[in-house]
Amino acid sequence: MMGRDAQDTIIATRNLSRTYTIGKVQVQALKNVTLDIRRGEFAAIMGKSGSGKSTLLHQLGLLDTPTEGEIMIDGIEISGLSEAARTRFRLEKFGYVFQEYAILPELTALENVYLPAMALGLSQGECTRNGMDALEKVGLTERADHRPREMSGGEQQRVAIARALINKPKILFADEPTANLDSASSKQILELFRGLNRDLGQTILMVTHELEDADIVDQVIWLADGEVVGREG
Amino acid sequence: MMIEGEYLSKYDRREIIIGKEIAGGHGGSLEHTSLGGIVVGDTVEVAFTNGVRREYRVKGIFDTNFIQSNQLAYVTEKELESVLGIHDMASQILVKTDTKGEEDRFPNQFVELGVHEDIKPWPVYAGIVATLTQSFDALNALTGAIGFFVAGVTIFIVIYVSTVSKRRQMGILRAIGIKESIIVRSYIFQAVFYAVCGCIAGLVIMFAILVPYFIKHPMVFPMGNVTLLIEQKAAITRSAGLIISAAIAGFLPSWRAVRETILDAIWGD
Repeated sequence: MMGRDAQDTIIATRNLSRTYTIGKVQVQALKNVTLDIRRGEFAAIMGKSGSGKSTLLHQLGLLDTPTEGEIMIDGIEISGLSEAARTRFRLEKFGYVFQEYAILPELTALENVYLPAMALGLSQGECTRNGMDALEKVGLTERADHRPREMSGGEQQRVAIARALINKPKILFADEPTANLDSASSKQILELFRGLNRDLGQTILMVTHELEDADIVDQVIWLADGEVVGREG
Repeated sequence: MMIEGEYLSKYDRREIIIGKEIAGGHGGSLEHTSLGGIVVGDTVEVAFTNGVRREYRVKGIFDTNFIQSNQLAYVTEKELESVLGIHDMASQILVKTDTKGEEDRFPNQFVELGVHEDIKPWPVYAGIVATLTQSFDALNALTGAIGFFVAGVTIFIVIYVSTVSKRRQMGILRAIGIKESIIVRSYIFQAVFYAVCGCIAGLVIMFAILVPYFIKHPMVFPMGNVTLLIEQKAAITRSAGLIISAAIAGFLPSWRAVRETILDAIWGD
């Protein structure tokens, strides 16, 4: 069992708040969220619809900027980063899996996977090699040359996971990754996450509303009305 | 083209070929000032500027499709020398250069060299042609400008629609760390690719189909037949202009699209 000292903590937030202004109305989506995620942990953010789970994921994944509070990622306080530095940070340290597979229909599975590696400036040979490695991790090497329209929803989501893994991210963020999948594909994806976490020590933070997902993760952070109301694990 | 009779041969004397506007009877535009329909074999009397008058047998009647030329008549060089009492002398020099529009520079240089004959740029002689050429140039510039505008707007619309339909995809690419400049460059590349394809297709259509077609089937104008001419320099300039327009048309909508926040792009309305 890992201790919760500073070295083991990969994500730490202190009094994180996010307020949206919609017209003349202010909506406080997150209120003073303080939490820690350990390195190599598979954590889930759960709660009812509108509880602020996706908002929290967006703050931690640097897709949005909090109104107040601090976020430390891998020991770096990220509130001072410029937009360009945040983009580079996301590319180098994060992997994302979205509810919709979000892979480019014009590209093959392999090309989709190595897109972030190309953006990082790797050579074509390295991109192909790393892309095939990533596809191997999700069990899709034989589909490398297929385009998205030739693949099932589950396979497309696995391509998206391979893309998220290609730059060997510190943290893999997943925003309801199984919401568009049938139960068999959902199970496959969750087992894949579990395997990546167990075998590679991949830190994963996943937003989900499926209660049974709580059984396979190390920690569950419960949110209600933008506040952390409970933690399990 | 001879519409009646034959061309002159080198040693013909006392024979003349005349344009259809002089001869009359061949559907010319100046029928009222013509000789009223003379035919090959008829005799005409010609008064020269030095006062000499001679009778000539009409050997042929020609039509050049150009009204000014059709008002001319030709005798052989030997015949003209005998009338004017000169030998191997030109009375007029018309200057035409390979580079368009540079003729005006040369008449003075001839004068400086001691040549004092009648020296003119060729458009002075073919004044109507120069006017027509200017009109065609104006039409050319106008259609070119409209073409640029239409091509630019079309590419802008294509890229704009593409950025709107791929808004979420662009948001996700930005979310995973793809730089905005890479996304914008990809749209510029796409627009430039369309423009290059358009230029290649246009040039192939022009050079392989339209130019040969109009050479074979020229447009008939009162002043002569008109075919298409594509100057290499103009083709290159316009292609480059179109490619630059396309790059701008690709840049603007994609740059606008990457201005919105990632969350708005992915989950916005």
